[in-house]
Amino acid sequence: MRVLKNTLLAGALTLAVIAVPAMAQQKTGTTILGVTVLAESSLTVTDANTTLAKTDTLFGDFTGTTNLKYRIRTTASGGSGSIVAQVNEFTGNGPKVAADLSYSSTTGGLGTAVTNQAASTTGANVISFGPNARSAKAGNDAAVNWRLGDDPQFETGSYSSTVTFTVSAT
Amino acid sequence: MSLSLAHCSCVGLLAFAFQSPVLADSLTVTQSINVTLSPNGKLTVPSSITLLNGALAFSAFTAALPVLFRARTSESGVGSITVQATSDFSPAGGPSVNTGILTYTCAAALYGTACSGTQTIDTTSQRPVVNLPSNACTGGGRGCSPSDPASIDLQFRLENDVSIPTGTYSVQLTFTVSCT
Repeated sequence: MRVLKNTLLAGALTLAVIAVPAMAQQKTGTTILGVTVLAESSLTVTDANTTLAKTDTLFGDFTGTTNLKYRIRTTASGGSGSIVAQVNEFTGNGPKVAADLSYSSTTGGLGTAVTNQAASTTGANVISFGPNARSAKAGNDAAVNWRLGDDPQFETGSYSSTVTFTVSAT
Repeated sequence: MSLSLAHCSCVGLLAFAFQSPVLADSLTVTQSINVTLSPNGKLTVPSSITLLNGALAFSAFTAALPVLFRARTSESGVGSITVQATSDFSPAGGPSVNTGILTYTCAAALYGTACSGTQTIDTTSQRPVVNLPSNACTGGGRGCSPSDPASIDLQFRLENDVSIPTGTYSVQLTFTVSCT
């Protein structure tokens, strides 16, 4: 009887000693970081104001350049993107947007440019992008080269318009 | 009949009387208990978290990740928790940890010394999360951590590089706790 009690007690203590290190066996843990990257775009108009000027003073065209910097990522499969310019109408008896103002664009190495595109008060493409288009990390430089015909019908004076550029990506 | 019964009862009582000294026997056993508590640690992290970006275009993807840990260090020992990318993002063609695109910062640790500054995750080196002093222990305060398990929050940041193609990517991180 005495021997048995002692054995049981010793057995219980042995179990307790083994249990302590067993609880602390886990040394590492892992986690999975997941991320979903979607189509995105951003645009900065580098030139806040663009002045149209002429070199040929005898009814030559007025020209000027607006510089843009854009970043774009379109969906790898089936995506697209664009930069669109919407030009507000000039005021007064001067030039009219649709009739007198046009532009060509440069893309900064990505997308498709336009040539002699008539300006629009409702918006027209400046650059278009296909699927999986990805600009440089710091952005790509683009430019809009404006051309305004100098019609003798224009009254003398200064005219201005606001152009809104919109970039989008899907 | 009645005498017989009484006799039997007496026999029963005698038997009980013989047992009583056995039950009342007193045994003193002196048992020496020796437990060796070695430096050790364990940690728990969420099985997965999702990095999300804000409303601004090309804003970084971020997520907070809590690390729960229990640790014991020796009188002359120290402890540490580190993190390393087990492998690169998958599928291939997306972000790569070895370009320095995935970083984290440590919130102030309630116990131990949290990492300072911005740490960059890669697949080749273990980056610090928290360092523990000698005689570290978790729970109860008074030199140990105030809570058991102790915890530290990490803020992960994945740069939203425009050159990354659209898609869903994941990377596994391994956290390691070591105590001496």
